[in-house]
Amino acid sequence: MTLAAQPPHSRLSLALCAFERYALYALVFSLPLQALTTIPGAGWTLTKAMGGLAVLVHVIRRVSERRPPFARAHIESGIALFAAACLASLPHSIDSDASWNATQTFFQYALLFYAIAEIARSESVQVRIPALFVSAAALSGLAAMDSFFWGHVPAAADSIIANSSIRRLSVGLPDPNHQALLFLFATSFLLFERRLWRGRFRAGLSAGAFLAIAVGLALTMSRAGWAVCIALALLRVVASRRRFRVLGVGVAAAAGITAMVWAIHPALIESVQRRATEFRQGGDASIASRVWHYAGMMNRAQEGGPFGFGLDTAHKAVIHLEDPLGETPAVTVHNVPLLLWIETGWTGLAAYGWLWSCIAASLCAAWLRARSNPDERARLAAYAVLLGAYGAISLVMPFVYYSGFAVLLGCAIGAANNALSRPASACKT
Amino acid sequence: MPRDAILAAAAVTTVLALVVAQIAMNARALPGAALPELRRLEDLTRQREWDQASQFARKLLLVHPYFRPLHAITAEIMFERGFPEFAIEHLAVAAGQTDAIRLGICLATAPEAGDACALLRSNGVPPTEDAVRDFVNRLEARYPESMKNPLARLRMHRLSAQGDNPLLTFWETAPPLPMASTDFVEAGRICGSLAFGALNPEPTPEESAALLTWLGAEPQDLPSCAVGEASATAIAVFAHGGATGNTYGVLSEARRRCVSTPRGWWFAVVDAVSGEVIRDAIFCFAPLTRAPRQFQDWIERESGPALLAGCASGEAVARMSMDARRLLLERFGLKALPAPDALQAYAFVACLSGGDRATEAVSLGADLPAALLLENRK
Repeated sequence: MTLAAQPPHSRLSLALCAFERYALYALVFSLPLQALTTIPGAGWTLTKAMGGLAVLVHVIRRVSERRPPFARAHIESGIALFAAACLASLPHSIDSDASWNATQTFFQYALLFYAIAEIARSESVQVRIPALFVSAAALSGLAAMDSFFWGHVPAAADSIIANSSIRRLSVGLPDPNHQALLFLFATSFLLFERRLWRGRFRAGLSAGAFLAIAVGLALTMSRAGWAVCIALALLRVVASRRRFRVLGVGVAAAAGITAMVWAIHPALIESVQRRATEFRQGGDASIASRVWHYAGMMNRAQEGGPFGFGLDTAHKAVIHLEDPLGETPAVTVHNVPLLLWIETGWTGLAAYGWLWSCIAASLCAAWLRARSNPDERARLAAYAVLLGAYGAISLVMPFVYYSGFAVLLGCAIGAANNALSRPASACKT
Repeated sequence: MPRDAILAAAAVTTVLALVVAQIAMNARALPGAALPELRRLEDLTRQREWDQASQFARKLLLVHPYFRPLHAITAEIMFERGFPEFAIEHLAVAAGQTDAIRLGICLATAPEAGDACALLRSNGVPPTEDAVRDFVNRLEARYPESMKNPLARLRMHRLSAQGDNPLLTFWETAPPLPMASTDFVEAGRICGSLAFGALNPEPTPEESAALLTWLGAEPQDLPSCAVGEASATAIAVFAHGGATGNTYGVLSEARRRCVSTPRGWWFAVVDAVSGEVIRDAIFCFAPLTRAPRQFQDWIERESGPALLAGCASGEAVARMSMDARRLLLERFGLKALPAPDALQAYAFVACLSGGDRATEAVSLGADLPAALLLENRK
C-alpha cells in the first residue's frame, strides 16, 4: 500500500481540500504574528480560528471520501505511549481540573497535528511553508523594530527585565522568549532550506529577512535564543562543503548587521552586550536560580513516582521550593523534560523520549529516501534543525502548551511522509 | 482546485488584513491623533470641570500613555483636584524626565512596564522650563505638607533642574532609586495623604471610619464565612490608581500592608481574626497569558477560613483579559466589577473557603479610591 494521499474525488472534496491548504498557509503565516492577528470582537487569534477550521474541514473531507478521519502519521507508537502516560497521570493528579484541561489541550494538539501532517504531505504545499514562515518572522522582526524605534506597531510585550534596566520587546507573542524561539525556527529555514536562496531576487529577500529576524531576535533579549542561533550558524558552517566561504559570508553578514544597527541605534548593541554578560557580573541571578532549582525539582519529580503529579501541575508541585536567590522565574519549571517528569512521572519522561526518537527516525528515514533530491533533503534537514532548536531551548524554557509546535511538527512529519510516500526510484534526479 | 500560489496569497492577505487593522486601531494612539481630543480636554479645564476633565484625561492616557502635552494638562488637573503627588508625577513625565523609571514613575496606562523614556522622546513638545518652575513653585506653595515626602522632593528637584542646571548633574550621580522605590510605609503614607487625609501609621478604627465616611462609604459586615464567634477586627481595604501608578492596601487596627505598583491587580490573603495579611501578590491578567491559571494556583494554596482582598485601579480593570474577568466573576460571584471603560477603582473582599457573598466597592470618581470597611457585628 502506498503512503501517498489519495486524490480528492468530488467537487466538494476539492473545495474542502483547497480550504485546508488555505487554512494551513494562514496558520503558518500567522504563527510569528499571533498577537497582531486578533479577530476584532471575537477575542480569538486567527491562528486559533484557522487551527480549529483546518481540523474540522479535514475531518469532513475525509469522512465524505469514506476514509478514516485522519491518516497515519507513522509516529503512532510515540504518540500512543505519550498519550497513555498522560492519561495514567490523571488518577493521581494533585489538581484534577487542571490535569483534565491539559489532557483536553493535548488532545486538541494531537488532532491539529494529524490534520496538518496530512495536509502538508504534498510537494506543492511543502515548497511554500518555509517561505511563508520566514516572511512572517521577518515581518514580526520589522514590526518589533518599528515598535522599538518609532512606536507605531503595538508591542505584545515591552518591559524592563527584572533586576536589570534592559528593555525587551516582542510584537508577535506576549512572551519575548517564545518569540525568540519562533525566530530560531525561521533561522533554521533560512540557513538550511536551499530554495530560499535560489536566484538573486530570492537571495535578496532572504538576506533582508535575515536582517529583520536578527534584529527581532536581539530585541527579545533572550540569551538562550542567541546562544542557539550561534549554534545553528556554526552547524551550517560545519555542514557546508565550502566551510571557509560560508564562514566568511557569515562573519561579514554578522558584522554588517551589527554595523547597521550600531549606526541606527547604538544603545541596542550596548543593551545586547550588557544582557549577554550580566549573568557573570552578579546583576542577574535568573540562570543561577534555575540551576539551583533543578536539583530540588528532580527530587520532587522522584517523589511523583511512575505517573507523576498530573498534567499541568508542575507549578503547583514545586511552588513550595524556596528560591534563595530571590528570582521568580525559577518558580516555573524551566526545563520541558523535567517538567514532564514532574507531571507524568518517569513513564511519561520515557514516553516523551520515545516520541522524540520516533520523530527523529521518521525524519532520518525520509532523509535517506530523498538521497537523489537535494532540495527535499535540504528541507528535511531544515525541519530537523528546527526541531533540534526546540529541543535545545526546551532545556531552559517551559514551552509545552503551545499549538504552534503541533503545527510545525505536523509540517515536519508531513515533509517526511511526503518523501517516504515515493519509491526511491521515483525521486527526482 | 485553485492553484497553491493563489491559496497562499489569499492566506497571506487574510493575515496581513488583520495585522493592518490592528495597527490602524493602534494609530489612534499616535500623538497626532490625540490633538483634537487634547483640545476638548483643554476646554474642560478652562471651564473648571475638574471631575469630567479627570475622567476624560484618564481615558485619553489609556490610548496615549506617552503623549507629553496630555500629561502636562493632567498635572494641572491633579493639582486642582488636590492630588499633588500625582501632579508631580505627570509633570515629570510631561517635562521629558528621561529617567522616569529611576524616579519610580511607571505609567500604569502603558501596555507594559516599558521603557517610557525612549518613547517619550518623540511624543509631543514638553512644557518650557519656565512653565515647569512656575508649576513647581505653585505646588510648593499650595501643598507644603505633601512636599515633605522625600520622593516628592526628589522629583521636585529634578523638575526644577531642567536643562543644564548643575543640580541635574548632582541627581544624575546620586544612587538610582529602584523601580518600585517607594517602600511600603512610604507608599502607604502617600496613599494615606491622597485617600484618607492625614492618616497615622497605625490608624484607629475611628480614623478609618471617618475617612471612609469622607469617601461616602458605609461600614459593612465581614463576609459571612469569617470566623464564627471570634471577634474579628475592623478591616479597611482600599484601591487607588492613577495613570502613573496604583496604591493598594489592607489596614486594620494595628496592622497595615500597602503596596505601590505601576500596574495590575493586587490580591491579599487576610487573616480574618487579626486582620494580618498572610501573603499577597500582583497579577497583571494581560491577554494571551496564563495569569488566570497562575492566580487560581495561588489562591488554592490557602485552605483555612481566610479572606481574600482584591484591589484594582481603573486602568488595571481596563487592561485585564476577558478570561480573567470571567474567572473573577464566576469564582467570587462579583456583581460590581466596573466595565473596562469605566476607569473606576475597585476593591472586593471574599471568603476563600467558599462564603456565600463578596463585599465590593467601586470608586466614586476616576481618581478617587475604592474603599471598604469591614466590621464583625456579631
